[in-house]
Amino acid sequence: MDSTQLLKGVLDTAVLAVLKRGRTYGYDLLRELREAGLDEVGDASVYGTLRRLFGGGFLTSEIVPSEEGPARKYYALSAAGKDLLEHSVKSWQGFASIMNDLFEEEAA
Amino acid sequence: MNTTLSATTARYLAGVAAELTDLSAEDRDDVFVDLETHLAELEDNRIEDELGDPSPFAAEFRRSAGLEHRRSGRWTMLAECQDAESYPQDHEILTDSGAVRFQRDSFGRIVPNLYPLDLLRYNDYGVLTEMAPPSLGFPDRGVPEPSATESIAPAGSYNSPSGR
Repeated sequence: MDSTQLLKGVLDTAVLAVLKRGRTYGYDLLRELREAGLDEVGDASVYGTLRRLFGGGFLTSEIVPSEEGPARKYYALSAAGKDLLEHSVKSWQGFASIMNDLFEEEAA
Repeated sequence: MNTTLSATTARYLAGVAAELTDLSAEDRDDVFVDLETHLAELEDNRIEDELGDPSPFAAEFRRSAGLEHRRSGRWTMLAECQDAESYPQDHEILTDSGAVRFQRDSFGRIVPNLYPLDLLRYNDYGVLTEMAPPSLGFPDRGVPEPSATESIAPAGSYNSPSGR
């Protein structure tokens, strides 16, 4: 199965889930996604997703000067983002449960 | 902190900018702040290995962000403002969307023929993009997106858009 196709469907939720841990900037978020195992996630996909989620009011952002290089834009979940994550997690768990049941029937 | 971009970083940013000139400044700035931070984390020789060419990067950003392509004109150029002594007539087509890299000599002679233009600069690189100020009556031609070969004339031979 092409995992990149699966990833496209859940990238929003994955980004929101990382941001639930606390605010972070794009590059660090990307690193966290990859360290979590989503190593096929595309850089531009994540930045585009951040832009879209921010535009939808699900994220807040703040530009913070950095001593180590260019300013960083930190993203955090807004109240709407927290609601969306909660809804998305429920949807994912319901979907995963259905798939798991199908797999078990297949194995039986 | 005010940082100086490396030439490689500036060129990459300008390459992405050349693909996103139809977006609002706000939308462009959104990706550039993130991208500058990202590029600062990479060694220059790893930038394209890690991120790929600017054109597909910009296309993927656009797709993921849900930003429509709103290109209205054909006069998008990436100008490389380097010393022109060695390459007075040189130019290079960079993308299928009409971007082209000029040396400063050509750049200087071409700009007056393409007024009005907006120039986004990244150190020694700049992206020139068509502006459409209503006060000047500059027409939104709404032309279909041309192929690279259709939109590029030899360096120094540009005419005004209306003269094409």
